[in-house]
Amino acid sequence: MTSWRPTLRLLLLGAGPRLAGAAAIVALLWLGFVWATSSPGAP
Amino acid sequence: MIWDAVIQPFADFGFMRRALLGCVAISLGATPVGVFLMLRRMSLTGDAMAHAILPGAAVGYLVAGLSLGAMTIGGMIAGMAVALLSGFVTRATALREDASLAAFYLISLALGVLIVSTRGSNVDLMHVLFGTVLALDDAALILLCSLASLSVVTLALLFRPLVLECADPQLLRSVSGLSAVTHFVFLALVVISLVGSFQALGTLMAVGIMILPAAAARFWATGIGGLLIAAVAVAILASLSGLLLSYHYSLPSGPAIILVAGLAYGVSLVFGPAGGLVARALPRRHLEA
Repeated sequence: MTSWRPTLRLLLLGAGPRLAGAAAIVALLWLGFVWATSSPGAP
Repeated sequence: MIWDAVIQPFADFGFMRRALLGCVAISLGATPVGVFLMLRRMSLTGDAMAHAILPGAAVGYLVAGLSLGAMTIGGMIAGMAVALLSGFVTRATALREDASLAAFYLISLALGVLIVSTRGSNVDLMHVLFGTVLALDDAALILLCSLASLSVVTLALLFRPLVLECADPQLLRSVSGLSAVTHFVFLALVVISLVGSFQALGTLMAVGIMILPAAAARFWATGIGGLLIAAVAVAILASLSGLLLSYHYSLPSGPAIILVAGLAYGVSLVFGPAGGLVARALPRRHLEA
């Protein structure tokens, strides 16, 4: 018999730091996009 | 000296910066998926899925020409169809996952080769098979960064169910209703990672940047966090080194990147402290009370 409480606990335990880390990685990646597409130099 | 060899190619040429960013996006988005593929003993599944996206990309090309969006959507539909069908057959019949996936990917591969060889040219075939990492435009980079972002956030959200499914799938099935969802979302992540990688490295080598760094990392770390960090680090270093080798010695960039990742795997295999050949040959310390 499964219920949503253990499922939610499984998903949410430690999710905050992991999502914060993921957000930081995504932000750095898009900063890299700005660097790669707008820096001077030959195309 | 170091400036000329390492920094200058990226400072002077936009195509090198774009190639590096594309490879970093693939390393961040696809390589962690490769780690989970390895942990679930599904490394060859990635290779099968890489071939499975071929007919969708080919149909996208036939419908809209060399359009990145059309080829991506086509590849995603074909990959997801193969993943879902093989997953359904595994759960609904007695056939095991490796056999059902092999059946569907072989059908898909044959269909893809048939479409490309009868309707496209040799140049198109080479583009699809080997990718164009040095010719990534803004649209391709936006696609790669978007897919990598989606992959990173999804992995962060489903991290615990994914780890539990690697370690003890029966336990995951008994304590939550996430088993099937996790399985299908993971297969979707595999397809998304391959579709992103194949823009840069082609269908034949897309899986290389997913599996080789993961296999190399296995000899340096034993915990899941360490494995993920080591694999991404190996993938980014292999991308950087491969692009520089390609620039300085006029080598094809995709194979150069994958071969450097292969070299990292070879070095790790011999010298890795976590089960490498040298570590196993050396006498181990006895445990003391």
